[in-house]
Amino acid sequence: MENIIDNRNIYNNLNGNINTLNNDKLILKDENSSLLVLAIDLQQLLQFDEENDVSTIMKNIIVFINAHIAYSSSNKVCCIINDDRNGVEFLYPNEDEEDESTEVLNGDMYQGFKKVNESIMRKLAKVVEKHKEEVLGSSTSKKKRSSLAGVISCGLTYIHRILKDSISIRARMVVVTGQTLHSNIIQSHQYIPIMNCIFTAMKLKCPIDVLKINDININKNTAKSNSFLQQATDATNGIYLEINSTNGMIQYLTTIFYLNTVVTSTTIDNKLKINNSVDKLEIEINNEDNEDEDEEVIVTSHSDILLKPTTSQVDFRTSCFLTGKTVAVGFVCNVCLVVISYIPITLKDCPCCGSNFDIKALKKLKYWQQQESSSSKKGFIKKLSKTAMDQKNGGVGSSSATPIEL
Amino acid sequence: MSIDIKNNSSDDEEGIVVSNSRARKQTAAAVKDEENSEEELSKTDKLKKLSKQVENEKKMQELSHKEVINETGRLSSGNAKRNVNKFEESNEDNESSDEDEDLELKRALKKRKLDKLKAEKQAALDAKKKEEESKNQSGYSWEDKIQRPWDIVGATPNEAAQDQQLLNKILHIRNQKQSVNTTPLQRGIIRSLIIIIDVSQTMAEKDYRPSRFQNVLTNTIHFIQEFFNMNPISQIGVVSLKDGLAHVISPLNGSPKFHIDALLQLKHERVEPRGFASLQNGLELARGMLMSVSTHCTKEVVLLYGSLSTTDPGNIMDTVTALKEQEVRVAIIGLVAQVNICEKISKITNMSDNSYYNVAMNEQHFSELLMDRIKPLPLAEGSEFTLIKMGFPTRIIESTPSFCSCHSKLNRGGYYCPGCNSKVCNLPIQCPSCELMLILSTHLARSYHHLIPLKNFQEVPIEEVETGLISRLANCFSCKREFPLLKRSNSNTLLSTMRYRCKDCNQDFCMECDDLIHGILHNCPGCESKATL
Repeated sequence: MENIIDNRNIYNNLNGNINTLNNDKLILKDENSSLLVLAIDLQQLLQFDEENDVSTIMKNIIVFINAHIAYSSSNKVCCIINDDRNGVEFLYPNEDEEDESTEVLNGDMYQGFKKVNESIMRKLAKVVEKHKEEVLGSSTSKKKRSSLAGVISCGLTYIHRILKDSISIRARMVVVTGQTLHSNIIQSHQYIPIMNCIFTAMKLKCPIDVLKINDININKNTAKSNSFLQQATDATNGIYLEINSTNGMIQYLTTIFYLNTVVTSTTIDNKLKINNSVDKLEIEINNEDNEDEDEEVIVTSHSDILLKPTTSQVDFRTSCFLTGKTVAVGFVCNVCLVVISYIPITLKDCPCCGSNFDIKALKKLKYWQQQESSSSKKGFIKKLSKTAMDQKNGGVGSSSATPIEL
Repeated sequence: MSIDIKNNSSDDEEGIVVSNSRARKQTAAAVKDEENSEEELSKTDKLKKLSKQVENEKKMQELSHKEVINETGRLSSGNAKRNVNKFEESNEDNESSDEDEDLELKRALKKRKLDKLKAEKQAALDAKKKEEESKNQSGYSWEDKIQRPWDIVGATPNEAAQDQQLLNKILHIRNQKQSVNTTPLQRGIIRSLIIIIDVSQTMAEKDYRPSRFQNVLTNTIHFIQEFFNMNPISQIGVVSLKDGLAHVISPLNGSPKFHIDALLQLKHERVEPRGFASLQNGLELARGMLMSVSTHCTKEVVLLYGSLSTTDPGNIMDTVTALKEQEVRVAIIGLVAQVNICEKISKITNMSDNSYYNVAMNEQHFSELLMDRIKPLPLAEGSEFTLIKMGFPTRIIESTPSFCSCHSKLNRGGYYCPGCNSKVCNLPIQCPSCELMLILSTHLARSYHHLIPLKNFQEVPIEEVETGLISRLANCFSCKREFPLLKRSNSNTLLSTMRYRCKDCNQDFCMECDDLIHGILHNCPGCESKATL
């Protein structure tokens, strides 16, 4: 919750900032059209209970989409979901327009909204219905595999297509995901696919924003942030935000995630002091000595004038292949890049890819390791090696961050 | 095609020549299977027919224009212009309301018949010429790329041009696919690479635009950026060959900016290529630079060579054997012509593998060849495997700024080395104080797709569409683009399904997506979206 309160404060300040800037001729220019790709992890969201159910979330999202379309006539939207049966499905654009005739919505609605909203609602209703049937039919709690990376991959291919087809369009992706208390969806296999998605997004210059909705039942202490998606936002210069309830969700969407497109380029005839730190950009406007310098500061990105909610702590650490613990100083196999935190005395081959190590080099490393352990933590290595052997016998394989299996 | 037609309207023969030149390319490709040459002929004929139609229409337009001008000449000059404009508009819609239209049509028909006869004769003659020429041309490797003639003529010339583009794309992708090997190999992920650039007088030649040297420089800068993107834990050094000597432009280092700055400086200083190049000096210098590299790194040299000769102080073969002993692998990209010594060097140092010496044919080909060197090389047999000690620092944000130990600059955040607690501002880097290699797990993740390559998608056979197994109109699984229908002009059969299928998830993808998925993404969206284990 602290995080969220912080964000609110930031946005209060921010509104103040914008107001002051407005007085000093803030010009907003957005000549480029923008493509918004919503990747909705419905697989997770469908597990929510009554209070935070999918329909409220989707209602908010539809309003958000309409806001995006309303901003410019050339703006484009794409909405993709994954359900736990068919995998990925495009809610909009809708390629099979058979059932156009049946009207779900009021006919007086603006056509731009109506087309999108109808397509989304119709398809979503089908998916949710099927899901309910399935839940009623089988009550087995089978472990399921998260298909979030599939949704993001599809979104990226769509972005690639649109970027190729049209000139001067910028794209971004908003990932909406959730977490429930009794989730039976496995996520550990997602590391490599999501990493690949991150690099592709970087190449396409498409920021990935993430909105994670935590279930009400989840204690805020036990809520785990999705480190893969955190890394995604960090690498692509996006925003990572967690909310604990769907109340007022639209406000988060329209303030935090909407701004990314709106304030793209501004010209401010004012003296700006931009203090550039690693994460925060602070602006001080000195109105006093305005006449001295009439410098024109051209700010090209929203991040130059707005404070984004920052995630100060991104979990970049790797975990050891043998013990599963996070590693500060580790050893990396030069063939398969597996990371291990210590070298067992009996080690001859790579535990992951099985390539034979050079004995001389190993001896050196082992010697170094001995010295380290004897100087600082005695007996630590022994313990580790024991647990490692146990794990090996038990057949426990890779941990979340070292999922290479050749 | 549109260009061809413009030429036609001005001169008959020229038009034929242009269309012939196109057909010539195709025949050159089809030397091996002679059957296709007949198809060629029919194709050229069709082209001519098409162009003739368009040409005649244009002639008609011109004639009617003249008449309009005559008529309006009696009227005031101001109105005339307007009328002409109007007439142009109406011509575009093919709605000429002229009285003499019938006459015009008859003339046009007569001409068309005559032209057809002429064209047929010409075509027969040209076909013979083409065959002769194609036999002569068959030696060029770039002509072999087009493997099959495609008899596609769209309804309008524009469509034909688009089809041609599509076809070129298909062929390109097919070629790429053939070259991509997806069997997982043990690759040397941690690389040290020396780029040797020829700066001898031959590099001042302007056959590569703006000049060979400038072209090589810009390509090298691009290469370095891409190289570090794909191989974040590798190192590069740059060496130049000039005046018979070898100079270090930038020593072995893991920062792309460092090298790019050095190369940009060369550009800004307007260094002129001068003197002769010495292969031996360059290779010896590279060998020296790679001497200190630890055994777990691969040692590679990429030589960009524009000269046809070398001025060496001693026996170059001694250097080559020394390189081989040190397991330095030399890849050479020639700019002009094949040189025997280059071939020998690359063959000896790459375990008698021929594919590491290439000669670029043009700028495009050169940059492609250079980019091929980004992918890490498969490990040689008997190479050493070892563990490398690396640090995985956590990022910190400070309230008060402090100096980083790498650049001595004030900043408010960075990474603490887990070994010695000194602060660095950028990763990957070797810790300046304790020399521990500091990386992020994301950097390791960059290289994973080299180790676990994605399986190639297979083109869906035409029979499946023809027999109705899959519907004719369908969309790409991941981007929802409709698959284009590529039909043969004579029959209504499909030329290619334009769909590529993943064997594991049985989803079909379009060509662009296939390109993206295998080129950049390295994920199959279909396989990733499976919800069940």
